[in-house]
Amino acid sequence: MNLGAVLYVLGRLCMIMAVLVAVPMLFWFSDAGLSDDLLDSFVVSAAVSLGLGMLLTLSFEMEQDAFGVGEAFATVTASWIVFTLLGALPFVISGHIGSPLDACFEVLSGFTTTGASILPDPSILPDPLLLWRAMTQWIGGMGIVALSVAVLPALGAGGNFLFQAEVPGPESEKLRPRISSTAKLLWVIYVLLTVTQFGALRLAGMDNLDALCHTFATVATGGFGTQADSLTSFSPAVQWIVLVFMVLAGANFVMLLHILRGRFARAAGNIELRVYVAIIIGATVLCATAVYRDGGAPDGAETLVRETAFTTVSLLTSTGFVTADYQLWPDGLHGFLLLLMICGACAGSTGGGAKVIRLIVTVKAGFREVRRLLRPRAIFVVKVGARPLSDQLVFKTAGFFVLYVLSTVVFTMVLLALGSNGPTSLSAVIACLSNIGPGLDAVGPTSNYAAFDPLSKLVLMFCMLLGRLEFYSVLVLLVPLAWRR
Amino acid sequence: MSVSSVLHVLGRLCLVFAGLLMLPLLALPFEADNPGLFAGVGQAFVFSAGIAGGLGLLLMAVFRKNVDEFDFEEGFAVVTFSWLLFMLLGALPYWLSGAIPAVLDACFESLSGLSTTGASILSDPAALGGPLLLWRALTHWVGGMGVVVLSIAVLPALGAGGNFLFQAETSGPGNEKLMPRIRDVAKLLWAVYAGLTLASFLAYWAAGMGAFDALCHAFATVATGGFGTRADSMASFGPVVQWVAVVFMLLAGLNYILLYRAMLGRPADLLRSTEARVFLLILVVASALCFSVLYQDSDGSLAVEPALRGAVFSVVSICSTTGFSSVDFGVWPASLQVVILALMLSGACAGSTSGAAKVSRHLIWGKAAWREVRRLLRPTGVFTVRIEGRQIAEPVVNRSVAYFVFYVGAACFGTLLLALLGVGGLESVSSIITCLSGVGPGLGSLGPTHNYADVPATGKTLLMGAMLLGRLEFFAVFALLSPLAWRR
Repeated sequence: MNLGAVLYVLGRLCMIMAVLVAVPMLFWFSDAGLSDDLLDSFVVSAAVSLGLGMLLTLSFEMEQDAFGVGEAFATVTASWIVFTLLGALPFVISGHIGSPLDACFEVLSGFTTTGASILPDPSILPDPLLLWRAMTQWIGGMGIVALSVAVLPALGAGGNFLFQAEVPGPESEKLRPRISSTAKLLWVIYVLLTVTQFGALRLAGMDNLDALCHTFATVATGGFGTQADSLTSFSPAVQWIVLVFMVLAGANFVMLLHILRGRFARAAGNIELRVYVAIIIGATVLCATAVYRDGGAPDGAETLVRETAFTTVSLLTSTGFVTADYQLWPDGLHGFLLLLMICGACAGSTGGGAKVIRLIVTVKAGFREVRRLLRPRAIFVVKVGARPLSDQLVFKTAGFFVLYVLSTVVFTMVLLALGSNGPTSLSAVIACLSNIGPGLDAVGPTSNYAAFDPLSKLVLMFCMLLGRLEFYSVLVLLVPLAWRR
Repeated sequence: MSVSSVLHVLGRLCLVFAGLLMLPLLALPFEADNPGLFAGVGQAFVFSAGIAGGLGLLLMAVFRKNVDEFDFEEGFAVVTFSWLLFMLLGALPYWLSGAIPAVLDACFESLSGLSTTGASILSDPAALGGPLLLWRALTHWVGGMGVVVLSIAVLPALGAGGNFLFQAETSGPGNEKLMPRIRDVAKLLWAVYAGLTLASFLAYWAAGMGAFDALCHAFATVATGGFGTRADSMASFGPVVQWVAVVFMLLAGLNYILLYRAMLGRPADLLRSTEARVFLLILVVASALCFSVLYQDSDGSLAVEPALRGAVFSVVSICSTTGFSSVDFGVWPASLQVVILALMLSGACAGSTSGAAKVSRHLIWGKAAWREVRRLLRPTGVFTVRIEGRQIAEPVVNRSVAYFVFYVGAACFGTLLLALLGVGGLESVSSIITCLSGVGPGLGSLGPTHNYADVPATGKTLLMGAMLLGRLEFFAVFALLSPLAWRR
């Protein structure tokens, strides 16, 4: 491991962070009523980031040939941690979130686009901090687009194998131009989604700040709102718009690109997209039926459909916005919602969770073994659509599944041991591993994560990071091989 | 698939089963003065045996076995359908005697016995009377015997076994060698099985159980079943009996090949086995955890020995997938209930009668996942999964991971369906896991002091499906669902 190179890259990222954290300062140009103390906290945060960035870039050097797979994984993991520490500064310095741990929780939750909050009522935050909170998600989402679409597949750890064939193996000199070109294209989609949704929400009657914050949270599949009750008190029109954009943000960006270019057949032929849409429809029907059988539809059919569809999409895409208190839904549905949370959206999106394509591959790999039993000498290939997958990829996918389940079991037991009850522990771990936000019971849709003890919060933060970086990037750093020169 | 070969073999198995159905009649003379005994219990057994025998003769007479046609598909079909057929025949005595009036309930009890699960719909088994109690325990023993043969001899020969330690020693799927090999290995294992049964019977007896109770409990223990003869399982037996049960549940959870070697005077092999060591480690850690929490929570109201016994007994009983209970772990703190759930998932060693995933599979998929992490750093490197320094063949690794996928998938969907049927959350998840793993008691209102009588009929059917799937380790059943199996 060449630590110098890693630290150098981190230094450059710190400088970008300095620019980003300075953005909310724009508020002071338009609004004179804001406190100077708050301005100071942003100035100090930007200065610290800049200073740290300059220190690192000056002290260390980037040797191109020293930047291998191990260094890349270290950079990816460390950058998320460094961003969290720097991003928490405005909250801590301004005193709006007193405890540094809580501030880090909130910011990591933003950067990982989880949306799990320790704030009972975010609306009491001043506007610049609200914007910063929403921005963390947007920045995180942008990082994920680059990460999941370009960096991780190039390193061989991506879930997005639709791209993997187009990205060569881990040769570092070819890595960067490719990352740039692919990622740029997808960032265009990302920005386009953002602009469109912002316009739509403005038209639906939201004010500028709310529209911007919710747009950032939606396209990044984050889930931080600006109100204590998330989106519940906004109009049905707003909720439908957010719903549509959550569906889009959970789809593979490459497919969105095909649709934009008018190649509908390619998108419609994508097996993952089809299963994704089928899950959304099926889950909505199931939830709506169960809720209807339980208590009828006192507020009309539209409300019932909107609330169940919104919840389904919000949890499946790992956004975590709330328009209905699903904690009050029949018990039988809670397990189903947990399954949706595990499932996740499409690969190549900003969504978390296992991703639909991984489940497809895992199930197919399972049944291949059954067929192998019947024809031991035959060669069976796992195919997605018409495309055969390499065994390496199948292994990696099954490995992901094993790691996900094991982490869920282990961390749930840790939370239980720390004193949380069963549903809370399990759902909090899943909500953080899948980067969703709300869970069940004590972390349900109307609650927040403030009540956890510090140790539990740290565990959940680790879950967010682990889930966001899809296990491998973090775990690879635990292998002694990664640290060998 | 040659259906007639399958039916012929099933016919022969029916005849064997008819013989087994006569055995409980031996208990009848001792029950002569039992006023509570069901009137027609004797006839019920005779009728059941008659039906089984008649069916067997009919099948054998009508269908011919063609040795050339007996292949993988037929093997899987015999394995799956024999379990279903035995379930139906085994339910006859309960139903015909009127002890369990509902057909579904009788089948549940019968399958639970044969699959060595031990989940009961009876609130007080003692009310059944001697012959039926003996039959209930006997179903465990027969099922366990079937499992030993199945998991150690038949399935590995068919390439579907979890027992990779043995797989190396059994030759590949050469059809003509299958039967003699199965016979040799099975004989050896039955010797271990019978030896364990006799030893545990004598130990229970010496520890103060009556001869009849000792016999029933010996059957249930070595088969890692869990049907007792009393409503409170083992709770009302003395401490010595409970400790004896702990020892034999532990032994029944070990690999029979290693037990055989130990009997031949090589006990060191047992301790050299990674799987056995990890199994013991799990037991020790879980027991220590449970004991410390229970002892602290009791604030001195519980003495050390009872607390330790309750913890160790529950841990060994669940992890070996037996399912006896000496204390009500349903009232333990929530964190310990999760430990119980995790133990249910764990299972004991491959090559035993225990259900669940088994320790060796956990080792394999843990190592397989870790291998993927290491592969990232050396994409062109060749990494193998090794246990005890031995390379695990890739097909075995693949199959273990596929088992994992099936288990988790079945557990998720089963839980979901049960929950939608109106069963509570904790009850749904624990009952599906306990049935998939062949343990018996679940948690909450399906805990050790409760029974499965109140689960809705659809839910019972679902749980029966889980028992069968879990016992046959998914593959045998799924293979039959594949169109490939039915192609000529």
